Amino acid sequence: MDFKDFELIYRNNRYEIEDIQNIKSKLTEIVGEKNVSNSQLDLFAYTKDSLMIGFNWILEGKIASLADFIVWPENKHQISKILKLANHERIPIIPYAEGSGVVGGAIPIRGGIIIDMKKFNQILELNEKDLTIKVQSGINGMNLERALNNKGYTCGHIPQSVQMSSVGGWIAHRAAGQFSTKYGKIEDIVLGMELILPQGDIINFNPIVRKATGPQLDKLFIGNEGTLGIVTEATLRIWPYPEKRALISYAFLTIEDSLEAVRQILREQIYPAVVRIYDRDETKRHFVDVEKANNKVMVVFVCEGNERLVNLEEHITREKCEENSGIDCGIHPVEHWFETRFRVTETSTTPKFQITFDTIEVASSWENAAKMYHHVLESVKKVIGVILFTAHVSHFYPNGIGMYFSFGGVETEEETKFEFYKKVWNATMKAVVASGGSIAHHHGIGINRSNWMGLEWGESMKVMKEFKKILDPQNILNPGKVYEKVWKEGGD
Amino acid sequence: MQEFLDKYKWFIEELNKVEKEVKRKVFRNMSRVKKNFFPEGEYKADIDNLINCALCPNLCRFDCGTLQAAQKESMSPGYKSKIGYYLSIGKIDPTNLSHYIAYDGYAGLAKVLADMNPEEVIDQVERAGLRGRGGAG
Repeated sequence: MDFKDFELIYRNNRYEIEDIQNIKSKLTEIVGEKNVSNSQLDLFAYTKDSLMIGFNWILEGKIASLADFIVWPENKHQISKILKLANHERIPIIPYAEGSGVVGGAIPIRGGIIIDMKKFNQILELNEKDLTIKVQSGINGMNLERALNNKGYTCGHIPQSVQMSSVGGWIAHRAAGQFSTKYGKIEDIVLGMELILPQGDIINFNPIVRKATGPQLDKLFIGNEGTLGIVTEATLRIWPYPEKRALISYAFLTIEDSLEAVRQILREQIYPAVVRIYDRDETKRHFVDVEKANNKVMVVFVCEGNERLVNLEEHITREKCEENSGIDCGIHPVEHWFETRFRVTETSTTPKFQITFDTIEVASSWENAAKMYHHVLESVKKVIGVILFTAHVSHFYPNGIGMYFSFGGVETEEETKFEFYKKVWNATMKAVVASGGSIAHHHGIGINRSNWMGLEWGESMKVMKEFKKILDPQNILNPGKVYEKVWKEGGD
Repeated sequence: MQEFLDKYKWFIEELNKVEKEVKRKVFRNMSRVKKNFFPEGEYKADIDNLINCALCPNLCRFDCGTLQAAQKESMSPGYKSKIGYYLSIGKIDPTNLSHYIAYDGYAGLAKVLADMNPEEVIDQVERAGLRGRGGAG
């Protein structure tokens, strides 16, 4: 097979390797023959991550971008040597694990070497006294969670992608799971890390839980999206598997009422593991058979943990919902959520109908949450071709929320699907910034949001770019992401 | 058809709210799925399932034996379906692919397995905690 029949989306500013055979021999020397490939079928397998427009591209016979090599290192010293070689030859390196990212963070847009971390899949140490687990970063999330469940524990980090994502990917993109209101985001769960810096140095961050040892340098690397280092090991917090789960659902008249009920619950220091507010359109989509929720806003809660505490949490949750005009809808809507929470059928159905579909998650304070919801909806629905634009609020903190928009639509005759897709993304980002929100809650920046980083960070962006320059002076680690504006390069 | 309409009732309601031009385009696209994405003439492959699997972000990957043993994206169920789909519609030349299979690709899996003794293979699969569903792989 060859790629001449496939259109390359990101094709500009690629690094051209002059002597492919020479680089292949050097990589073979480091990782062995079986762990390096530039066969076309292997390269073709790593052209994209789970970027949603990429599923449309599959049917259209388009490729996001192509790497020159894939390597599967088996230990940290091999990664260190690959990075030293890449610096010497100035070849881009793209870390990859399970490919669940949805913002293009693992697409090799400049070509180069993809380092696939799948062989870093071991559990190294379960410490039941400290409630920690040390793992290699390439381990699949579901394999980790079921190993923990078998021992009577949970990590509490259950993103919708848990079956197809890795610990390293969670850390790289500062992920959040569906149970984050109780267990926190990944930055609350990671205690220690081993990582390899862009020039090959191996560093460690001690997993002792609280320290006062100068600036929190480790936080710089959580959310670095493979641009400042490659995480090889991580120590995570774990919890005993919950003794009891209480399933609760209430329907509210307005999004404002539902937000206020949840805000009051958290104010009492009650942290249900799962809280999800579905706006009217999403309630119609997901809970069509719940009559009490007809034309209302559905909220599902899962309280879990020690039985006596869960009973108290359930009591206060119900009290606050009812004080804010909530109507009890029973356990069925929550059971339905449990049954369907890993279903992502949109990726398989919408491209066939040539509908462009995606989700965009953002963050806000409580103060601005409802305002942001209405402003974003109003702005994006004006984009011609948008058929649906809906939201749910899925992550809650005493001081703010994470909101999740979904859109579907078709391009006009004058534009391509990718142009329509970018138009909706940009309209959303613009409206979020104008409402005082933050442009990303847990998927990260990748390519899709990099245009908006300057506006998000202001003057601090200069400092961030300086860090990148100090650690990666040749810009070999995941170039074209986070700090650079590349969407204009993507043809279609 | 009724089942389809029930399932996508919410979408049809949304569609009724948009401009005529957009509505027309969606209905045109929906009616042309076969024409746009299925092979011409006779074919034996189950194209619907190949597309569904190729467009799924590999949710069964954690349970897929070949992927867990090989640890390569090219052994993932979604990717294999993608290749199957491209072969079915003639986007990939099967003669080139057979060259790949013989010398490079699936031989890669054989190589992985040959490098490991049976106990190591079993250990690898057990460590992944596979439940035997094997995904689509």
